[in-house]
Amino acid sequence: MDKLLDRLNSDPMLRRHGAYYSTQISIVAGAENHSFDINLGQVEKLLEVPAASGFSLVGAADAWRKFCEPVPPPEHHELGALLGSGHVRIEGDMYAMQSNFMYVRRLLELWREDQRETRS
Amino acid sequence: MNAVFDEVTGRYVQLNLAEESVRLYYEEAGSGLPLLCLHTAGADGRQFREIIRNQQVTENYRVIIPDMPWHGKSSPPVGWQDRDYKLSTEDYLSYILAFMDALELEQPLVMGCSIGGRVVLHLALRHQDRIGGIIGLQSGLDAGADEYDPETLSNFHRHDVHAGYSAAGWMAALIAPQSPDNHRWETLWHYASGGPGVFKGDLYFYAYDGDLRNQPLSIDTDTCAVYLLSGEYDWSAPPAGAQEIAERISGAYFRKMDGMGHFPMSENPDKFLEYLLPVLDNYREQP
Repeated sequence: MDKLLDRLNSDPMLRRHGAYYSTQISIVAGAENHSFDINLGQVEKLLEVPAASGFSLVGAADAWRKFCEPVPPPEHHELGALLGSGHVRIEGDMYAMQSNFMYVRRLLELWREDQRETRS
Repeated sequence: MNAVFDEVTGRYVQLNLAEESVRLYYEEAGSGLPLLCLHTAGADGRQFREIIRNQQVTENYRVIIPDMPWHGKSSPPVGWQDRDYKLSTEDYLSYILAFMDALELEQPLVMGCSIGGRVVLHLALRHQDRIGGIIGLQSGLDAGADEYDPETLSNFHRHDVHAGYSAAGWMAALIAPQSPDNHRWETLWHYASGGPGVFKGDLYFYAYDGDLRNQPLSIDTDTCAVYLLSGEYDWSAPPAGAQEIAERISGAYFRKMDGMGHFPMSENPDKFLEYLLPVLDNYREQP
């Protein structure tokens, strides 16, 4: 988890887009939770329980597994593709996601890189 | 000398449309059959930057790329600050026909992507005597608008959301994972730099006014060739939609483009040219 935290907090794009962004984000993959507590762009804590505030990205474990494949299939290759195709839905504060979509999609990319390394 | 000049030239034309006059920017290069290129919603003619610079294209075609009114280097009409931009099918067609008239384009081959891929169908259905053929990129009869509220589009135009980043973030999801990073981010830059409310206004045509479902697709491909190319990673205008159109138009050509998303000419131009050049050759060989 420390490695993921380092990856997130050392990423130039996240730092640039997150300067004014504080929220909590949960990836809900079936029964699993991957939650991020964000303060002014810095990811301060990683949790394995649902976030208490902010928003959740909720999908079947299989949808997130496809998202993490080395070459994801169509409809699963990006956060927006998962959402737009209906494989993942948003629960909670929609505005917190829509107003910072560049940050959120980048966070998901970095989480995916970590998942790929963990699984290989 | 390190500077390298393109063969592309840019120019402005003042177009008098039904209710307004607009200063329109366009680029062109090459000679031969006219190939008119129409960009996607919320973007501009830079999407075709590698097509207009490709010698295999320009040695046989006069490539012409306008920026739609309100887009790129084209100006909005006078009074833009007092109105919402909302693209209708009628406005879209009238601008294209006025531009063709102004440049005296005879029977051009018209290639459009996304909203451009839809409007070429409208053009072929209503004005097929004016054009030689169409190439629809990411064409679809509709955009699944029944599944969402019009307010869904509002994130692309509200004071407290950065519209450029919002559009870029969402459009990133329509680019294939195989596309090179330099072209991916150039494509997203176009989206990040659009005028306020313009992307949302274009999507009114894409999602609502330009819907072609339940309409006969009466196009005579002997006089107006129809080519449809569609990227497999496009979940907004998926290849199945273009394939359905091809199946309903006798003589239409369809190819799915593997490893390609919603912006083929911009996100992965080298790969796209592998699909486009045979189409351009085929069109030239037509009687």
